[in-house]
Amino acid sequence: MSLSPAAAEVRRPGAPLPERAEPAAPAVVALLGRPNSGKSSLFNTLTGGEAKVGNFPGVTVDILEAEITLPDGTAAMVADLPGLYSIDAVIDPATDEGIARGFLDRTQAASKPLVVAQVIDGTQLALGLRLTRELLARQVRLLVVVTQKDVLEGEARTLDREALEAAIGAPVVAVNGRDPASRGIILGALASTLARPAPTAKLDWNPALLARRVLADAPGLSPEAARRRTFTARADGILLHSLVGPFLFLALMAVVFAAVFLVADPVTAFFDSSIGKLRGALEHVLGASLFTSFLTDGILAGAGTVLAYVPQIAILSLAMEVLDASGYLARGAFLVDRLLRLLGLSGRSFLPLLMGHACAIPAIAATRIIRDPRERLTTILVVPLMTCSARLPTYALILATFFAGHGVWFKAAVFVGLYFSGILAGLVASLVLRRTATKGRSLPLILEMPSYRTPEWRVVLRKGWQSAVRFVRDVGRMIVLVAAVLWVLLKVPAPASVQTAAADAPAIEHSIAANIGHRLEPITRPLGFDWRMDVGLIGSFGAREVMVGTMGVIFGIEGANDDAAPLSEKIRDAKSPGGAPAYSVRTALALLAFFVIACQCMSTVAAIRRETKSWRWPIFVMVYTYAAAYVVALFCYQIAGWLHLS
Amino acid sequence: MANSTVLSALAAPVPSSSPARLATSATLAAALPGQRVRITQIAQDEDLAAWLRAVGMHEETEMTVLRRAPFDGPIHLRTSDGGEFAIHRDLARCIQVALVDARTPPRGSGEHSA
Repeated sequence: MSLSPAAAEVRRPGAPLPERAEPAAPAVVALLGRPNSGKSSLFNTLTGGEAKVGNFPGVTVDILEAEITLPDGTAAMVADLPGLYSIDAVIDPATDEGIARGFLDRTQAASKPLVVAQVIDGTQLALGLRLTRELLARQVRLLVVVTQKDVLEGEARTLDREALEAAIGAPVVAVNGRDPASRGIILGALASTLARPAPTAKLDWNPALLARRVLADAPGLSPEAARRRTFTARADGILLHSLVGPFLFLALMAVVFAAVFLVADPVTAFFDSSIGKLRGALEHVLGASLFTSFLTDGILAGAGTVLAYVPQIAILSLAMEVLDASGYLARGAFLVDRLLRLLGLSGRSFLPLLMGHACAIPAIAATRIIRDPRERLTTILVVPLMTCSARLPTYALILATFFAGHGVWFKAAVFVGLYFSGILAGLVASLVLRRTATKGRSLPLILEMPSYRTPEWRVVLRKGWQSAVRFVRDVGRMIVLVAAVLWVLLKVPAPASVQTAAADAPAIEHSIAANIGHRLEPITRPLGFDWRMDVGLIGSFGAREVMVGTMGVIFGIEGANDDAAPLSEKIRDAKSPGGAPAYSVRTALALLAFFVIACQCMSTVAAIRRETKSWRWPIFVMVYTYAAAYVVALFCYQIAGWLHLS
Repeated sequence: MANSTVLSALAAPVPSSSPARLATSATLAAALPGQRVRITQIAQDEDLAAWLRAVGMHEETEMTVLRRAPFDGPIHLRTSDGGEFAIHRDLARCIQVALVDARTPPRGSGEHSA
């Protein structure tokens, strides 16, 4: 194969340097196509799965990149652009369409050699060719990669490749995206496309008519095509049945939920015990000191928090990938769409919101399945309000402390009430956000229902692995950093000039956090919170469940996480400086309300930063949830006072 | 097919049709499972209409309604280009259609017709 001009220019030895003495940019191969066109599978085949997230400022969706070498030795960077329907009809620059167009504009403006490889599902040729025409109008070098060749052949349909090439004026290859042999075919075609100048656009054709002309159908529907269509119709007949469908969907969601919630548990416990052993070893080697405490209670505890999320992230990511690749996710969204419209959202938000009840961190990552940027943002902002599992230890402590005299049913009812309070808070927040912070034009409410397919396990597993690695790398760093800062606040003594605690008080009473707690007291007093409660809240920003342990430390109870009964007693008996009981049922109600709403979770904040790629939205979430939590807690405390609850 | 025929064919099966409903009944929202319709006009602002066309729903596209989700939920349909879509009822109300083939299934035969 001849060397491409671009490559020859780069490699000619002894050639004079161009005017700008910069190394010539490698060629860019932009992989682009409609959602479900088989693009991810093809990207995997082309790159062997080796990919990294490209760094594109202002782009909130990950664009995977990988370096490949074309058969002529040219180095090229393949970019897997988000699935899109059009490059012209861009409703919002933040949509997948806008991101892809921005990418092409930037690459063309940078005068990098560019080939757009458009992936078209051969069974939906007419739909794909509309996009082809738009791309040709942009005067880019285009290679059309028609996938599902095996399916077409199975249906006794043949693609007249040459006729298609002649009609559109651009090269066409037909492959089976899952066949490793297709790699060589595509790489060869890319090299020769790159070697040629951009074609003169031929736009005088109708996509539907052309598709009909170049796809020689067997007379009538082939048995294979008929079988596929019957299978889809039968499966949809059950899975989308107005009664059976929602039931099956909820059952499947329950399985995914249980997997995230329960199956991840043993792995998390293993990480926990490993961290515990490492901690013991460090303490043994370094001896007890403030530095050892920093390493073990700060850094190592932070790392433990990061690892605890990894199984959940990986499991949910795998589940979503399987649901999406099989074609079921769109069906599920169809079923619950009407329900989600009550929240100003669509069916695609259901899974992230449901998963938020296990943990907000994987749920926020799961919002990637939502195509509409404003809806996705709204869901990200609302997910922290769902009652995650980390809230439960604090709820249990509060119930055990202040509602000890009530029966199991009462406590169960309160628990259920707290879950519904989270959903109600989410409903209100979503409706308000859609009219304020995230208002604006959304994508038309249309959902593609892809054919059912067997997921490609290689692609699915790689996605699960990649999401876990990316979480540890991107979110993990921040979690460890905040854990270190919290350690300083809780363990390092405040300067003596601002000490308020007695000399023999527990160390935490001398801490910077205690100092802050005392200073916050005038603000939190109307909610019934004293400085000790404030310190607990500061500590629980690391993770909500830390509230119990921190309160244990404040009240001098060891092992409060394992048995909360002694701590409950201490909290009940706690006195304010005047000698009156420090806390009451009123305080409990206010604290519960506060915990329902406030985004007391540094990991959630880090995850929102990761997904929105800005500080604006994590800060927004903190401000709005803390403000709302304060107001609602104040309301609860004061109303309970008027009702004489104590 | 005369326009009035289309209107009556599409409007007739809609339960509790109010006069206001009848006036917009030649929209995709009124089409029933099993019916084959052709888009005659997309009454959206130009950007949204262009997006709909890009997705695969443009004037002259023929579609078969497969099912309607309950409680005014989305409509599931297959286009003649081979794509299947679920479209919200509100959006469907902005799409004018003409009936191509009235293969309305007998009442009570279930929602699906391939």
